[in-house]
Amino acid sequence: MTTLPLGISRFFPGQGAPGAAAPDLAERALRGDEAAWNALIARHNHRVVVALVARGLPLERAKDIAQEAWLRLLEQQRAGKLRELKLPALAVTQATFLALDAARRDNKTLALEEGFDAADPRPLSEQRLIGEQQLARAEQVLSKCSPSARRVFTLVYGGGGLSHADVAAKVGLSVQRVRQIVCEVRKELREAMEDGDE
Amino acid sequence: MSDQRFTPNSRFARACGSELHLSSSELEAFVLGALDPAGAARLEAHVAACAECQARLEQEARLELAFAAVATRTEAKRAREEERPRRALPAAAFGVLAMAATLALWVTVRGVDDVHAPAPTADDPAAAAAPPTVSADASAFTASLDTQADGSRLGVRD
Repeated sequence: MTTLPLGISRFFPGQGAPGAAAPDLAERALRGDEAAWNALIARHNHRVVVALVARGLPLERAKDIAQEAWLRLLEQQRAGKLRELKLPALAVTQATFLALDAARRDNKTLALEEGFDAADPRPLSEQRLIGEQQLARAEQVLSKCSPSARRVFTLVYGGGGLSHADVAAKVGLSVQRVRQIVCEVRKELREAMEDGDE
Repeated sequence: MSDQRFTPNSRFARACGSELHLSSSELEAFVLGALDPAGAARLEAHVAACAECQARLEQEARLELAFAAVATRTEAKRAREEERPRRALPAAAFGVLAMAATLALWVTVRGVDDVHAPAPTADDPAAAAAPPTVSADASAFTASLDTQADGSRLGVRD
């Protein structure tokens, strides 16, 4: 497995100060700015790894495939094939393709494989892994949370790819408080989703 | 999706060979990216050797995907709700404008009829005796409204 030339070995989102705005970084990365790529990888790599683990990949393997996915994106950018850079979604999709390819080569099955459809506009997360009823229950619980908790939660988990530090800066709270809120909401949603399983 | 074999903070409750199993809070902190580098390295080393904790990590990671889906749906719902009044306002304005235009057209047509419609005369007794008629045609409709049963004109604007 190739190692990233950018020296990224591990990412811990939300631990540092908020960086440049994501759209600005994406534009710079599309122009080939290596520092911008580094920042984007640092910002999103962990989510890519977690998404792969959710699909049944061992953690070490997920990290390798995530690196490979970033390399592919870099190659595509250098070849002028990348027109937009929506992260982390694009990196997750790329990594999922690689994981599926690898699994097919090894004659293995990934959790997502049966239901994966690249043409499906829904987020990957909704295609197969999560039941509709569970999502509806969680949605209902989230709607009953306080507006501020809901805002923090949707910023952290929404499509913007914001780190905890970004969210903290945006809502005027400390990173620690943001994490505390996320953990509290997470606990309630988890319970709601598990209740229906019993 | 349940994790009933482990309770939160059960780090010291169960052993995995010579090592302790990971706690739920550690797994949660990892997927949230909140573990320090040393903690993350320890977790990675552990799950590499412990299938049970790898499976629990997978479940925790799936929850992350579920939460992302919930957040996306909530955002989309809120965007739709915010969009609704914005759409309703132009529609209401369009309705008012349409009514005003219809009214203006009606007034104009009436004005034209007043100028051009032949007044009943003694030379044309049929026209003079003709009862008011109802027609889909706007000019005929307004003409009939303007003409009384006895052939005299309504003096609305005169």
